[in-house]
Amino acid sequence: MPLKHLSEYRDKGLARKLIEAIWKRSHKPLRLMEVCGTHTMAIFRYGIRQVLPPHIQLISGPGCPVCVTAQEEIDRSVKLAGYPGVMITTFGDLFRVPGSRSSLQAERSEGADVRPVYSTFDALRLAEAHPEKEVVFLGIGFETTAPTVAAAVLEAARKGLDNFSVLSFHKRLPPALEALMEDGNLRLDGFLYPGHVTTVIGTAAYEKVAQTYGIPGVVSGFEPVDILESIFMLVEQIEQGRVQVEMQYRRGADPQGNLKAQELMDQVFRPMDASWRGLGLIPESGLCLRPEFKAFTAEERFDLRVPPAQEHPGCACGAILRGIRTPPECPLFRAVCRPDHPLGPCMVSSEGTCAAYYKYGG
Amino acid sequence: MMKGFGFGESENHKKSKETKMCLAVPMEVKEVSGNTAWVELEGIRREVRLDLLEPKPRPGDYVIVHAGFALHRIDEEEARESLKTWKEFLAHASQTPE
Amino acid sequence: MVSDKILLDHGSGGRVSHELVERLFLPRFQNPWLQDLNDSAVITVEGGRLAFTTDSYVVDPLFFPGGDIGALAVCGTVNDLAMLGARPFYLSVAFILEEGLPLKDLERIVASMAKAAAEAGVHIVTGDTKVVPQGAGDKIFINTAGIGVVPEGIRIGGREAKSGDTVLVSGTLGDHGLTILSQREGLAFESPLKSDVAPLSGLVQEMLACGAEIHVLRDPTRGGLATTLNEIARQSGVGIEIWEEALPVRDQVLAASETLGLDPLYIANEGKLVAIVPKEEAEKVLTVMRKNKYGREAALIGEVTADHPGQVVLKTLIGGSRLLDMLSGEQLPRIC
Repeated sequence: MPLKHLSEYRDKGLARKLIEAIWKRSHKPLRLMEVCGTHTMAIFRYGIRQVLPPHIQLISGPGCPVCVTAQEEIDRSVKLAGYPGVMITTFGDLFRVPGSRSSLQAERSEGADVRPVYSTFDALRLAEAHPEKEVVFLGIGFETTAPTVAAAVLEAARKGLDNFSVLSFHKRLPPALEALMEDGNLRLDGFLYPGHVTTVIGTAAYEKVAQTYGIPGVVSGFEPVDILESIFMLVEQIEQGRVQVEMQYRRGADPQGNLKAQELMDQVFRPMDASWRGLGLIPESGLCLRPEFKAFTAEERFDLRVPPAQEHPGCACGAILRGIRTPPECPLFRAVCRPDHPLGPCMVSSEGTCAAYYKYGG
Repeated sequence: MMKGFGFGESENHKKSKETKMCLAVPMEVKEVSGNTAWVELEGIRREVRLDLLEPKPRPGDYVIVHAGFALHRIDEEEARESLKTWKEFLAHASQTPE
Repeated sequence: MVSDKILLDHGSGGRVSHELVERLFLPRFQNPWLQDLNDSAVITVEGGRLAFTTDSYVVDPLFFPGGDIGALAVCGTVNDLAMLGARPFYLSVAFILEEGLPLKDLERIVASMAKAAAEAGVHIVTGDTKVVPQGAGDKIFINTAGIGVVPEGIRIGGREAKSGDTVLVSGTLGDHGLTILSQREGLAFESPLKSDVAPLSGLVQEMLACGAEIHVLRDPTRGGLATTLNEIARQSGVGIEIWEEALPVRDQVLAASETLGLDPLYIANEGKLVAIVPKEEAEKVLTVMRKNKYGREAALIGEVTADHPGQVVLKTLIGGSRLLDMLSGEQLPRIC
């Protein structure tokens, strides 16, 4: 079968049956939130909202790592780019996010050395190939990506590299889930949990959310059949009054997660308080390198203090990330803020909610 | 001295533009050597790191690949069972009246 | 010519320049106009209105599975003429070469151009060669301009799509762009992707000859099918709906797009065309297309509607729908 493990989950017949089953089973109005940029995109790409009954609302949450990067973090990256001899490496659309005064892209056009990479190991190789440069990797992403950065740091340590460091903006998803639940403005009936974050961390953290807040969840894969199955499972739970964490993405994740990845992450990183765009300061929600890895910690090598951050006035990215507003409700959306002229990261990022609404139609 | 669309130096514009974050596709393991493996999807091959997998996968296994790393080995049996269960359930569900 | 590389001398107009023309270009592009080596080629055209187009080619890498910059330079311009229903006849070519370009590479490119021109039935009748110092160019840039004749009574263009028409495509999508990108990304292949670069004038002539009414022809190059359909929707003031499950895409292209995080609908094609024809003509035109080697996988992919004028909507394989916008901003660099 072509595209094994993908095409079965794009099967039109299976999808149709799932849609019918959802219509049959679902009666209560539901607000379901996904917290993963890839889910945001997949839902738009396949037009999932159009095939669901109108009383089921799918809401996008803070699942896009670039989008939740705080303005202050952007500003620190921009300051770093200004140091001579520094080569900044990262993945994602971080380049184009406008900071308080500048962006990485703008810095690059002024001569800063800023390069996209596909993997942290590319950054390591660049450090080896350019001993004259200070190579800094900007770590963004949730727990799916953090272990890969941990592995790279360990390799850098093994190799004794002295010109490689990481500026970590990594974030942990579970504390954000709790922060969302504490938000009085947000009413939710269920969570669609991110497949690949779960591949790493397992479901224990979601169990806690389910118990504490009485909110059911399903860990979902990324293909249309995965998402429809997951929505069906959520509908079933809610109609039956159950509160559980169920696993739709059985082929891609285990309930205990990836123990090796967790081990590496734990060896290199420790939790720290972090500021999320839209959600503010969340305790223990970020990851920073442990003291043993001081040699690879960018903040130890460079002064990255910056003045208080300023976001574009009127930008509703924060409220959109919290799921309490949609892009069309932002006065800047389309009128001023567009993919070719973005004012905030939700429009910049290829996984941003505003970018999705703009590109695919609301 | 490189021109091109502002990617900085790179021979033949080898580096990709900003990569999607959560992009993770299932690929078949073809060859394993130490901490790396060659994986393939429809004739497209990539080299990936195996630091995050224990035990290491074997040729013929399918793995989920993310940012140059293999993240998870797909349990074929599990995948097949799951698909089968859903198909059966849905066949039954479409016959049962609500 | 003693050197095996292009030297500044080759662009100077002196002896070495002349040798390049006489030993490489003339034998390859054999035709009486070029043979005369005048400042201009004087040609006679009859039988309709003149179609005139130009394009420059800066693709990197120069050589790729399925073709090279030379093939692109001829086919791209030939196809631009064909999309207006014109029979292409004459091309000009201008080379901007970087000092140090291996002569072997230039020979290979020129041979490729000659081959494509012969297949398309066009002559390269006039040209120019400049050489810039090392570093001031990037190996080779090519410009071609083309002249063709549009027969009387042919009225094909972006404004002609009408509500109720059907949308056809001549074959699989995304092949060219993904091939280039995969080469650049260094993705290794077992059975490699191939560019679809091809001259489509023959295919178009056959489509016209069958007597069917054809409203629009366009080749979905930079920006891919999505951008092309958006252009047509805007020009004609109509809406277009296409169906995801009807789109012909090779499994390898799909896999490459997944791996690179791209959408084949926005990726350049260099040997495909989109045709918009009245509903009742669709069957006839498809049959004709499938008989041609460049139209074997021709498919009916959508329809023109009076709804959402100026916009293109994709019906997804699960029955949902989404807007298929134009490519915004980030063009993939040096694809053609």
